[in-house]
Amino acid sequence: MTEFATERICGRLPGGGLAPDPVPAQRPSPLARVRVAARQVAYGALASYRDYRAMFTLRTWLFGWTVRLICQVLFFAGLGRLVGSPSAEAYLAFGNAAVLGPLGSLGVVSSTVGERVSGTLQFLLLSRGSTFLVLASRGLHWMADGLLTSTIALCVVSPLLGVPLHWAALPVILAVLCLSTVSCYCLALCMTSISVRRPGSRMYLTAGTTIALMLLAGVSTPVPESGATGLLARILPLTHGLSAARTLAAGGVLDLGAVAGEAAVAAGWGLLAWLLLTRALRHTVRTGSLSLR
Amino acid sequence: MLHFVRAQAQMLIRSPQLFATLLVIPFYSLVFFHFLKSHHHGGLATTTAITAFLMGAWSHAVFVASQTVDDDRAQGTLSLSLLTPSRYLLALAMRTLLTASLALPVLGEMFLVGRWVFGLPIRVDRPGLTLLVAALVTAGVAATALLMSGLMILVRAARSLQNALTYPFYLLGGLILPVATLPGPLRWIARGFFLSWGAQLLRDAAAGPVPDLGVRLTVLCVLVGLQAAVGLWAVRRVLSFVRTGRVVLHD
Repeated sequence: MTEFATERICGRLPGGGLAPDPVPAQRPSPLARVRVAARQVAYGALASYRDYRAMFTLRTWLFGWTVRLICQVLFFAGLGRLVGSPSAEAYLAFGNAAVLGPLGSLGVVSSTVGERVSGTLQFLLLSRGSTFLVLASRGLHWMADGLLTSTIALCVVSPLLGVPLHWAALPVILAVLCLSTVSCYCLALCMTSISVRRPGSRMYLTAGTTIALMLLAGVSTPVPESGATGLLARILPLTHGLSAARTLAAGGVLDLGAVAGEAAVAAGWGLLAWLLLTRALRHTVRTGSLSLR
Repeated sequence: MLHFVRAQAQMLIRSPQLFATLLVIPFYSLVFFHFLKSHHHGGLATTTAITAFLMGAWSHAVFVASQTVDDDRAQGTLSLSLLTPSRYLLALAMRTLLTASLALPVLGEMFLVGRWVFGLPIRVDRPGLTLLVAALVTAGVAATALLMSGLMILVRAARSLQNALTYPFYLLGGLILPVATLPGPLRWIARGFFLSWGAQLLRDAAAGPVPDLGVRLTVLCVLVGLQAAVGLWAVRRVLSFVRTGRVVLHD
């Protein structure tokens, strides 16, 4: 009769805890951790780029997508002409061109659902690397696309509709809008904590955020000053950045207070995104609730 | 033909997510109404409510109704349907029309949001005519969805093109500003586009007496009919390509 020797197997124990690694790993240095994280983000960005190339060719991007977005800006600017106010038309045109970056970054909500639907999320959760970093970098193409189309829309629509734009300040305006886009990307990552568990919610989440930004962030009408809507506007991405961008476009100086406000909002949403998404992923692993479809 | 409609109705009831566009697009009316209210132009509320309805109807057709054939392909029923003696083209047309017609209640929804949520003066002078024109426009967008269906089979990147087919057509259809404000060549294209006639007729029907009603209604009917003919012809041709193997039902 053969007796089997009891072996210690690395993995989950009957009690539910994790067995230690057979070979105790050395704790990596902070620099090594940063290097690993940077590599993960770089691969995530590369995968994003590949996704994007699969979605658009240069021709469909330029004559389909970009033309559509310019038409979107012209459409909403038309509201100003409808009420017979050239200043409202210019206000709407600038706001709607600037909002393209932040709105584009909301695409990460769908990208994350894509990971789940294509069945790759399970493997990401099994890997040793940070799933949060992978998911956070899988929508970078949306951010880049949003910024680029926003820039093109600003450059095309401004002369077309006579929007006052101090051209010398354009690089700084774009830098401010870049910050707003990052800020909105962080908000979108918060929403992925919901969409990753309930994929059907993604359309409502992005549509709700789009409307909230267009109503409260100073895109179509001035930012509400008081009340609950005023408070909500101040913690929304874009509000502070758009205000600073408008001042710059009108020939004013850079409002450092507004830029600091936007950076604080970005940091706040970024931290919340990390907490919520990490928690949501842990929950799906613990409860085994991540279905393959 | 009724059984095609009944089958599509059952499929729609079991897929409530298909109604998402109808819920989401009208959110844009909040932006319109809020803007009008803050600029003290409540008198334009009816016009913008009609704009929001047309946006909803068009996008529902482009994103959802045109998807019918793609869903059939994904589920593997398209190739089987093409093997049967029954006329798949007729079935597809009826199913697309039913799906597109679900956008009709959005018109009422927009009027209610404007009046009850924002307290704006929504006024419809000729409700019967407004409903008739809205129904004709819905038939037109269903025909557009049919045309898109052909594209969905033919072109692999059709899904990414769906997004591109919204705002340019809203401008061309004069949804926010009359087509007279468009640049010359675009104005001529818009004159042959059923949506521009429908949008202007809807606005006029809501506002009061409509000049040249008979002629304009006839032109709208002809343009919608032409759109339907082009849509049916395109899908028929694409399906014949599929039958002869010139187009492969990928995936």
